[in-house]
Amino acid sequence: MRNGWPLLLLLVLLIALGCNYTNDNTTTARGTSESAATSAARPAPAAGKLGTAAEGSKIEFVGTKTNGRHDGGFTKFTVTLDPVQEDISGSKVIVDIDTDSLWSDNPKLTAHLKSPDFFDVKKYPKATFVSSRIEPAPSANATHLVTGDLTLHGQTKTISFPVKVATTAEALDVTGEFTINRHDFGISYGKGRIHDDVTIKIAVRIPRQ
Amino acid sequence: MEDLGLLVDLFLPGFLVPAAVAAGILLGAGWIIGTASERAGRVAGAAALSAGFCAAWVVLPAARWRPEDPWDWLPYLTVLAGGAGLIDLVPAVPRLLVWLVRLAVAAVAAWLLVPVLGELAKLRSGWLAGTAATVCLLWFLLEPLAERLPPGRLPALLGLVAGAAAVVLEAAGILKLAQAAGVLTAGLAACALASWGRTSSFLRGMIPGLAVVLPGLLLNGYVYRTTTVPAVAFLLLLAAPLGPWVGALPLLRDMTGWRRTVVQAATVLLPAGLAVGIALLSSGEW
Repeated sequence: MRNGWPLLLLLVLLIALGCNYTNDNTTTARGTSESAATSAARPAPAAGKLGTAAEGSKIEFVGTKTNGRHDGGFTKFTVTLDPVQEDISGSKVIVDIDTDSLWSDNPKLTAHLKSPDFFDVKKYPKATFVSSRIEPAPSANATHLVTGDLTLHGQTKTISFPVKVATTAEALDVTGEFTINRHDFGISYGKGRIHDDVTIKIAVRIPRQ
Repeated sequence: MEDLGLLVDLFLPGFLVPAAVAAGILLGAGWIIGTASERAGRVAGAAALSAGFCAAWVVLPAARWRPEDPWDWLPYLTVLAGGAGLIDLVPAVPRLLVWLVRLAVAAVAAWLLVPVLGELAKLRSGWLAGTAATVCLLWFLLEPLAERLPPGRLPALLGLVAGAAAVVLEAAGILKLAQAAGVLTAGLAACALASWGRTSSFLRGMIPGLAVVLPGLLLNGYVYRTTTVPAVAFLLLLAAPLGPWVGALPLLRDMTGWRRTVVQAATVLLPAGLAVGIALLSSGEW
């Protein structure tokens, strides 16, 4: 035991470091938890300004598993359309999501989705989408096809999805629903039980400048 | 529980497979070479824990062989630590070299297991030193305990601590890490079964791996937690394995019989149980 004393001192150092870290982090953790609880009841709207997504805009997802489904989304994100114009074919869309603002219909699930098992929000605090092409593609439920790079969980993949653009005098309303395969982005936890495809739902209002 | 099926699906391969592999190696070693050989027993112990982790990494769907996160290194580190723990069995190896190798393994483990995150960057050197020191502390203080306690008792108690760690990590919101703690539990349970009343050499072979895996899991669980499980729950689990040293205190060391057994068990199980209670209460699961 005599030779263990220097090591014991080092353990004390570890505990001291751990305590400092706790104080710094507890506020964040509680803040996240409160936000998640509030969000579970009703997600807060995104902040809006000219050219970016306005109040009431939503980015949500639906995950399914063998015995049910869960709804979720993000409360903090920006959607920038450059330029804002009648025909968005010539515009570029940039979506920037704060992954720590994730919410779901179950607080325990929210915590799990934020963990390294899924979104790993500490390591990957941002998810982004940058369009490379927007082209007219009229169909029953869509007016355009958007193609671009989605970076999620640290992995980037080019995706294309249909959107419906409705223009009014005040704003452009962009809505869409599509699926991504979570394994394409390295989110593979619960394979077999939790389905691979996740439905993404967007409903974004961008005020005209 | 709504997701009981998911938990069963994920935990059974992560527990039963490594337990079967580790138990197979230990019982096989006991049958072939007996328990009289301290050397063979230690080799079997190190091999059992390493093989248990490797088997779990084969069957667990979320496990990765190409490390991206700190915990992905665990199978490699159990092999490294297990091998390094056997170096004193090589004839004519200087004692100094044995200690230097152990310190080097603790340093490598700390380097690989401390997450590279912005929030840790300021105090990274402190986290590295603290993690390496904890690995050393567990390694160096558990080895003599393995000799002091009756064969089988310490691995059983350590297995319960690892099981408690799995519960705390689940409450912290990270099932991947809880599964890895389940793998450690499986290895120690197999060790308790194979060595009960016979030999402590199996556990001695496992201690280096345990000393690396337990702090690594708890550190990452604390850093990446997404619930409000406090630091004290993780620290209690780090301290719990060393509980039997309390029995060496002046008032307790002369104790014998069942009283001694109760004290040894209580010094491990009380902090571990407290950690579980704190984690479940703080995360709202209880």
